Amino acid sequence: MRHYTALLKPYKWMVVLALLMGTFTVAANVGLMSTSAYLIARAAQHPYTILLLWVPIVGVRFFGTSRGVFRYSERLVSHDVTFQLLKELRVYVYRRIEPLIPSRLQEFHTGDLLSRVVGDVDTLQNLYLGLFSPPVIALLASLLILGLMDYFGSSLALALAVFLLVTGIAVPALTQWAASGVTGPMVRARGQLSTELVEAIHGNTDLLVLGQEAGHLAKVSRLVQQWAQRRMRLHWISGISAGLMQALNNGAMWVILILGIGLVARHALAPVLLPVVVLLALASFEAVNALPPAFQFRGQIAAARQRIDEIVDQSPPAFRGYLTMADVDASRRAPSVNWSEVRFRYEDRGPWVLDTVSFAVAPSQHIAVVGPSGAGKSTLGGVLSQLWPYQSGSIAINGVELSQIALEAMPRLIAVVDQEPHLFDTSLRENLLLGNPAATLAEMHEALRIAQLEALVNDLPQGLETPVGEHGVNFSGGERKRLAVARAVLQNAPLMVFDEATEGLDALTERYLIRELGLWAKDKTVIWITHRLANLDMMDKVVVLSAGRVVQDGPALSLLGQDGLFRRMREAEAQTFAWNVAADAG
Amino acid sequence: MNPRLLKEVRSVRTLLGLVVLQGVFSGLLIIGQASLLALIVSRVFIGHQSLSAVQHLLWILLAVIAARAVLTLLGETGALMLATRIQASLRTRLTERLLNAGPLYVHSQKTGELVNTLIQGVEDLEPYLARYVPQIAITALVPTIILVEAFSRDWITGLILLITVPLIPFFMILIGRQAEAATKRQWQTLSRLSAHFLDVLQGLKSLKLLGQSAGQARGIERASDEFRRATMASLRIAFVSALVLELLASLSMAMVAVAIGLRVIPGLMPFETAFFLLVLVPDFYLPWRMLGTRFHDGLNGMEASKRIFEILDAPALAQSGGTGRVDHVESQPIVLDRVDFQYSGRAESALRGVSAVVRPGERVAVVGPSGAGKSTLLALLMGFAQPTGGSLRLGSTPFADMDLSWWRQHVMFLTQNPYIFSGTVQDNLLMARPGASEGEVQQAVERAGADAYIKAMPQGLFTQLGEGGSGLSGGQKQRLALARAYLKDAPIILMDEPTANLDPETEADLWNGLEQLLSGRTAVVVAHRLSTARHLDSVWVMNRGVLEQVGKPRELELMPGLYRELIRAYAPVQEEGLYASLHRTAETL
Repeated sequence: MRHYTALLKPYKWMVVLALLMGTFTVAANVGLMSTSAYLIARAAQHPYTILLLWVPIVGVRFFGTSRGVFRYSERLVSHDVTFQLLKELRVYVYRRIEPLIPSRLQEFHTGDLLSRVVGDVDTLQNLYLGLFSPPVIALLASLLILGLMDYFGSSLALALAVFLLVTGIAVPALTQWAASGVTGPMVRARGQLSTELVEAIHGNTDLLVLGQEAGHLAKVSRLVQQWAQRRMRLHWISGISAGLMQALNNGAMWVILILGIGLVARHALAPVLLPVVVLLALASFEAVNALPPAFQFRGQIAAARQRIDEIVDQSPPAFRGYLTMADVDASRRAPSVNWSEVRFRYEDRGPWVLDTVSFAVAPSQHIAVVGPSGAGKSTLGGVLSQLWPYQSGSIAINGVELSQIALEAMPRLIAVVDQEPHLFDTSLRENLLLGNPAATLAEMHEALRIAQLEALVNDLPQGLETPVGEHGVNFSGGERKRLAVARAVLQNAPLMVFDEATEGLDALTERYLIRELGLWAKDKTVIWITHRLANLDMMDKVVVLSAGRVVQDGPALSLLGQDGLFRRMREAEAQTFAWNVAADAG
Repeated sequence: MNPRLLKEVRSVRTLLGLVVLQGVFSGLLIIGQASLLALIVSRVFIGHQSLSAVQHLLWILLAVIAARAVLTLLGETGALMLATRIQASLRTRLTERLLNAGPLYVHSQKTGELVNTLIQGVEDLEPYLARYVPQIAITALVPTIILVEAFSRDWITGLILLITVPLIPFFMILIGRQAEAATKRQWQTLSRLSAHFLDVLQGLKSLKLLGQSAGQARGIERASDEFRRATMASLRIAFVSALVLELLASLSMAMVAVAIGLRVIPGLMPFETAFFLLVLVPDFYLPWRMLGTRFHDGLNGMEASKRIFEILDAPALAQSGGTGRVDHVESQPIVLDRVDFQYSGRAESALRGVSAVVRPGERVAVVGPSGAGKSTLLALLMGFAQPTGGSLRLGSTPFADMDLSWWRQHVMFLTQNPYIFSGTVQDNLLMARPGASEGEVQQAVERAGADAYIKAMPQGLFTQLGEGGSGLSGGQKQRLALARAYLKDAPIILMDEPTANLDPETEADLWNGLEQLLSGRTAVVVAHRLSTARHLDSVWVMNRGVLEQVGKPRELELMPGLYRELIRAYAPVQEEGLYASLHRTAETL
């Protein structure tokens, strides 16, 4: 746990304050009980004046009042510490994960993975309240109580110490040991059950179609029973542990009572103090009450920490570029791009996703990259923007090797609308500004016009202030894509890559978008990745990819004249009903 | 407390009784322990008795302590078991309900949220049921018993307790409610902040491409700090309620101590009674304080229970309640008679007055733009819901009177995204016909064109597939679904654009298998390719919930109407030559 507790360092004085307040809270309760006991015991000796009782009365009142105040300040300070810790954790995790995305944390499993990271960070924020403070407060408060007890009799202190140790450490440890045998099977049973529950939802249609609803229900109810049985065993352990804790608490009082009576008989303890030591023993267990939950929590924290470590401790990929925009000759507005024998794969020993890919794009040329799904089209954009390092071959931008260019320079050199552009859960305006934080309102509207979104945004009552929702849910898939196009237009780089930018558009609007974007980018180099072949006559040339290899390369019309993959794909596409046009017409 | 949850709790009577009984006996034993303790201490302190003189009392005290421990053990275990019983019953019933409600209900909900309710939501009920609910019983019983006892020993102490008792719930409600609302808001903000953090992490790739990723750490820090300041401001108020309760409990403890102490001096009260009361008072307040904490622990469960009961109330759309069965299904026409369908909560009807007949052995292509009602039509034919108007019949038997599970045994449905269950390839196939022989499975796999890639898997048919068929491509999943269809061998086939998500080459490949499946069966196929429609017996053209045209594909191509417009519209303006050549190919088919 060391390096995460280290995040608390800047707040060490607050931590000390919180710990002291926590200790005093326990001490005040112990003080209240023992002074009260002393008060009535002293009163029972019928003192000649009430003034003799003045000190215990003040004590009772002081402890009675201060306990609440201590508790209040402890809660305030410790929560503040928790939130500070949460902040530090988030920043730490972000800084470590940032270089890992996407090449170390691949897309197809990041969704779940990242939400688990966020959940784990939320768990770790309780590091202080749940794990760090209980043992420290228990130790400090116990020492205080035992010191007081020792003043009354060292045998009493010794006996109480044994009971506190057993209750605070042995019982929780034993409970955990006993539960560990059951927890594993229980967690497995719960895992199996969860799988089946999820399938009743995601596989609902298929279960009904295949007539498996009764079978599935039987399976679920069997797993539910299994889970419940495993759980019952854990419940007995929890019950025994709770009973044992209580027995120990009262048992300590019982032992102290016997020892106290013995001491009184031997005149080693004033009789008036007997009620005091008994109630002191009874109240002292508040010191260790928070330990068993901390024990349980330890496992959760350790698991959360391990999961986060596994992710953030990966070494980032080796991008060693150092050249800046100036080195790539930004004075020429549109760069040339030359791929030569480029090979790329996502995993060592995995299949080559791009296999000896070679093609050339001249400055301010607009080309299309097409091919069946899985051909490697989208990978091409990722490699070109240095999200992924290529393994061999060469990619030259204006004659400069891509891998030599610094990562920081990339966004100014190349703007990419990738397959799944992320919209952030803020307003349209905030999302657009990510393309260029200094963009003016006019520039934003121009970008929206090019992306064929102007009418849509004008119709929104809140206009640019419209919230886009989580992952942009307030907009359709195609609209999200085009918002990303507008964002890329604002980014205004000399080299533009659009991956399936016309998704969900009807044929007419699609053609408008391609034309407008083409006009806007006439002095830029554009790579247009698409599976739609209808409008490629507007491109200077087409590169056809299949299974990671370039199989055709040339102008669309001449490719149509050849018997090849491009023509076969175009023929299949033309067979599809053009519903959108028809629906608009009708 | 949610009355329906209360009903659930009542259904587990024995355990509930045990928990309540534990509360009563705990109260009595607390009093017993305090009396014995006071008696012993008093005899030694005031009566100067020796250890041996009080020995028997000490043994009784130990017995009481042991009895309390056993009672705690039983109470704790019982309460937890009560929760597990209810959770188990709810999980099974939720699953049953979702299966009865069917895909139309499930897909009208956020599926992620449904999953979360079934797994985490039910899990969250445990602290609520096992901690909070029994604590209500204990809080009602234990302080009452102690109060009665306190009154019988000393009315002043009884009075102090009695006066403070209503103050506790009063303050809990007065301060608590406002503070509660404030705290809840803050925790919501906290979870929003978590969501924001997740959003940033998930969007990291886009941020990198935009050159904005480096600045985000600062943004996260700032947002967290702002949140902390706002939260601390409201927590300062929220914690006051706890402070007041704490003060109330410890101050009244102090009041009792001073009040009895002052009467012990002149001998108005014996030491034994005074000490007894002193030991007893903390136990009087303890249940109240516990109730507060446990209420917090149970909050999530309380929220979850609302949603759980909502799901349990979902309409059983996919069940008719009827028991009707029909002989010779394959030779019965399927009749749609002025069928209307409206999704609950939607203003517009998805289907309006659709009348048509699917004759035995007829293969129908349903075409139309998205939103035309094609998928809804298939859902009704599958028995996933009943028409909201008009009627749907098999021969002369209305679907409303039919045993829909029985009906579905005779229909196969191929969708855009077939679901692959966790288990082996074989398990997935056998779902279509449990007990199919090895040869039958092999034959189905071959006819579906799935044998090549299944053989290439590490353990062939016995390869374990991940949840949702992760690791399989769309085409591979469709082939498994096709193999299922061959195994099920149903006389009626429904298809909802099963090739829509595939690239053209894979699609063409898969269609051969699909067409073979259709031969000799009745079929309704939602098609998005002209060539598909041309291969079938008749075409239904749908638009905005209405069946606009019905006819043979060749006839419809010649008649004015939506269908002809559609065919003309696909001609790309810039590639006249290609269009002409395509048309020629089509003519020769």
